[in-house]
Amino acid sequence: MVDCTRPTRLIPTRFLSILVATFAALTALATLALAPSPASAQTVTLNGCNGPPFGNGCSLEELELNNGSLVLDLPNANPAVRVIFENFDIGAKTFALGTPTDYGLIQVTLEATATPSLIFEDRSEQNAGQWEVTAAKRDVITYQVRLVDFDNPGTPVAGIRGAGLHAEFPIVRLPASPEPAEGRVRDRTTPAMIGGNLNVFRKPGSDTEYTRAARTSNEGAFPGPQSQVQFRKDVKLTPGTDHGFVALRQIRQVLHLISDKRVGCVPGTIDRNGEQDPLQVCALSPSQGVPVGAGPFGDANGTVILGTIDPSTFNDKVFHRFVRTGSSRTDIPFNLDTVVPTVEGANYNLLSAFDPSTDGGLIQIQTTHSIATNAVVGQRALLIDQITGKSASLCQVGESVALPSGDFDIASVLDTRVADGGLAYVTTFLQPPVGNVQQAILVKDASQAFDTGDAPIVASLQPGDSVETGEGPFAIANPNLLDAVDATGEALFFSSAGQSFTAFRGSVGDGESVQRLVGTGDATDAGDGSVVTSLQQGGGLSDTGAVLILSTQIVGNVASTKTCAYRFENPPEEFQTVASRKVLCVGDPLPGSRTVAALIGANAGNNGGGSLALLESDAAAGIRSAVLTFDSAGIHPIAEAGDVVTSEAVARTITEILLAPRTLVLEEKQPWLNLTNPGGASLNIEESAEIAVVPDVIERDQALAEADLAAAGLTVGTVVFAASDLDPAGATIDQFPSGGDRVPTGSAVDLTVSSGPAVEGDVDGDGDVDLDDLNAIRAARSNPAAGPDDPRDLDGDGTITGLDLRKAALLCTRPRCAAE
Amino acid sequence: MTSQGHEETKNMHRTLDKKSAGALLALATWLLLAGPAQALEIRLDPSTQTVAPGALLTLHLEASDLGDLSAPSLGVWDVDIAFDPAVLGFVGASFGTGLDLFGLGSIHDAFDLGGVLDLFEVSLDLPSDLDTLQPGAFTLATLTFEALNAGSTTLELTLDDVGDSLGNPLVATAVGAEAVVAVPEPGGLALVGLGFVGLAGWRRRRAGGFGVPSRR
Repeated sequence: MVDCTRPTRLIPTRFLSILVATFAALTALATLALAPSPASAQTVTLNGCNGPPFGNGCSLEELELNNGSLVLDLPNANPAVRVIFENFDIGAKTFALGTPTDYGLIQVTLEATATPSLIFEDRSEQNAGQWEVTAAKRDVITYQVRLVDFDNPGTPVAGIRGAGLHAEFPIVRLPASPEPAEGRVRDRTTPAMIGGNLNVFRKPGSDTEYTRAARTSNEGAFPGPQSQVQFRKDVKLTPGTDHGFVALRQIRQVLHLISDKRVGCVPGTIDRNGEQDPLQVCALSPSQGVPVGAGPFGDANGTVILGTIDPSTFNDKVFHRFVRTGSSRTDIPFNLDTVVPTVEGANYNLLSAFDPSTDGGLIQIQTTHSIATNAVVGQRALLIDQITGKSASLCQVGESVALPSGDFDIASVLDTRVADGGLAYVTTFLQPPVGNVQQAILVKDASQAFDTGDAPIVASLQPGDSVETGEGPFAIANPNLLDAVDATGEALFFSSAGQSFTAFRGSVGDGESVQRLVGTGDATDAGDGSVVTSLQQGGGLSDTGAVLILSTQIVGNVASTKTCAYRFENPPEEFQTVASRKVLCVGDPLPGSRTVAALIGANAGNNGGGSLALLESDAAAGIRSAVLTFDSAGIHPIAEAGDVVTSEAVARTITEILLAPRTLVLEEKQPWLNLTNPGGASLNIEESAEIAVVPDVIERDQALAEADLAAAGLTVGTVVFAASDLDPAGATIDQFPSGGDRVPTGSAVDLTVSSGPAVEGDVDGDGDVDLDDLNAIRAARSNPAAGPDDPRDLDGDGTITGLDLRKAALLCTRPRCAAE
Repeated sequence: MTSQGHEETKNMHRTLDKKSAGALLALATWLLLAGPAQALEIRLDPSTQTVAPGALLTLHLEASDLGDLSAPSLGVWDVDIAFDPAVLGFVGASFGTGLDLFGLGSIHDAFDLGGVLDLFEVSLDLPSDLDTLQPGAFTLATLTFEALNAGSTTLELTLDDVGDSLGNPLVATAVGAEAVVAVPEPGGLALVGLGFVGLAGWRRRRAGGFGVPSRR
């Protein structure tokens, strides 16, 4: 029965309908007023993507400089929309944006509404959560993200540009053991060889910016963007397949070009600003190494260049020129911006000190070989325009390049030597079936007028050629040019037949005579019946154009050998009677208590004389190594073991100088840099004796990690915390320098410690929410959020406001947000 | 139930329907129209004042129309006050206790951005405390300015963020103020001076026997 005394129970039924209708009308009006225009296809522009090297879109560096963000502009939307994506994270994956290419690891198409939001579609056949990639580009996982209009969801929005965005890749680490049967890219490790590859990288001082590795495939030409493959963590490297070159990219820097052990790729250049593709510089033949790092190769002023890198800043390089003045030596540090006077009186901005020809010279050499066939597949010369700035242009063999003083024909760029003018080249061609064919091209000689259009002086000999020596014809067995062209432009070469060697000097053009210098079996001037038993390559030039030849002697009937270095004056003199030609022999006394312990090789000469390397025997210090120069006045040290090379941050001592017949290369052993020259020519500058090996403290508890560092003579650097869903709180998840790196004792090692799973409001990632987090929000108040995942934007409205601060205060893990 | 009873019931329902509908419609109208008028108001007080050059000017930033010892309470506020820096110079600000009920501290800042004063405060108190202990009206901050030069300036109050104890936005209105910096007029000073002169003469006269006969 209805209780008529409580009629109000009946009223709302009708009146609520009125209210509902009223509110519905109001809501509709508000919605109409605020609703955006219907979505429609919009043109999308990717900002910050201006060109190569990776396709037509963003380069790696551009993205990096753009903080790794992708900016989408939809100017035709109403209102115009700009969406900024950072880090390109899709859950645990990272990706890159690019049009379909055959070289990219990832293809991404954007999918979004006009609002817009993004929908990421995994189109790979593999599990989207697994990114293990096995080398070949056909195995690359493909991701596509499309930009779509919700009104036409099946129609991708046209107008996407900016192909070639590359993803951030997690840290990669290789096993430390050399040449494993199979390697897996891991994070943070010292360089290691995998199937002939070497791969290491690390972004110092940061746990959020990752370094990536790029690798060339073993297909196609090298270098070139088509052959580059991006690595990421846990990429599996397969020996025999993945033996392409590995180049390492550092955020905002290009650091390493890693050698291939089998072919002896000499590491390339380190570019200060990361503007140079590291794949561009590589000479692979063991016998044709391009100096790397810097070396005691004399520039046109008779100087030696030593390069160092500041490990603290990672990008500041200081070079040293050891200028010889008489018997004294002056250490002149300079950097890449230093203006270096050249012999021609002009001032050049030093672009690179890694090749002697760039310091007063003009050309950097780049040579690439096929891994599979060892054939030359790419050669080019990098012409350094030192007059107009730091720009560089590429030229191919045979191209005529504009030099400051005229046009010079680049006959070959396979190898280079600095002759008297600093511009001579010795080249080697791989010319089946003949084999090696060598040519010496004197591009320019300071002692000669050399005008534009002059033909290069070329000496070319083939096995079986007969040369006129003045003592009758001489049949060339196997010609090998010595490493120099003298000041007159004559080629220096020797012929070998079995164990017999003969050295000549002279132009070997048609009908011309050559000068026989010395040959095996010749008696030495020692007067003890010793004879020359072998000749070694490694000639040098003195100011008179002499050549330096190393010979091994049999002294009398004693079955021992003795190595001496000789030089041969121009005009020639009889070998047997001129004692002054002898420069140095093993066992000869040196100033102090030193004696010559060994003669290893000789460097190409410079304007002031030839250079010679030797090992010294010091009664106090034992065997030491040194690089000397010589001229008619005597021998002068250039660099020797014990010399301290000082950079801005670290003083290093030259501990060892290794010399090869053709090239002297300084090699720096940096914690992050391990450049090798399997060709055997290297000169090592290592850190001073106070070296500590960084322990690997990954996954160690922070306290234990710090104890390990202290035990190793290291200090704890910056400790930052980062949320990790995988690592327990307190576990060390990153370190720099990496374990196994060799650093000066007392160096700081930065640690990244897990704060455990991410905590809402934990802005600084230390596992709690306290005043530190609130202050971080407070400092960003009124600024736009960095993205949808910005932990400071707790209410997700895109702006960091006081409201976020209040919400963070409510999340504090201690009373009144007290900080620990 | 009889038919009469049914009819009475229907009439009663009809009568009550009309009355109640009218009342509820009025209530809904009041809720829709009058509701916003009771939203939180933040104002500068006093609304106008005149000071002489070199003098200090004090303004109170007041909050009102909050729940009195009940929700909604104020948990965070962020305002800007724009003024003419040629007329006024910001001296300092002291924050009230409305968001720091126990005197344990809040997070607050006052930045003089050159003609724009950026003020904000975030409470570290618990929402339950704010909702039950915060009064319905209180002083957010007391601001001190120095009158620099003659002239007038509005102090335009802009609310950037105003949130409740949970950090959710509150609807609020802002009421600014006006300040006049003026030199006192010379005529007024002269009158005051004359007054002092007259007073001095009167005192002298009393002291000299003009008003009280001598007993000698």
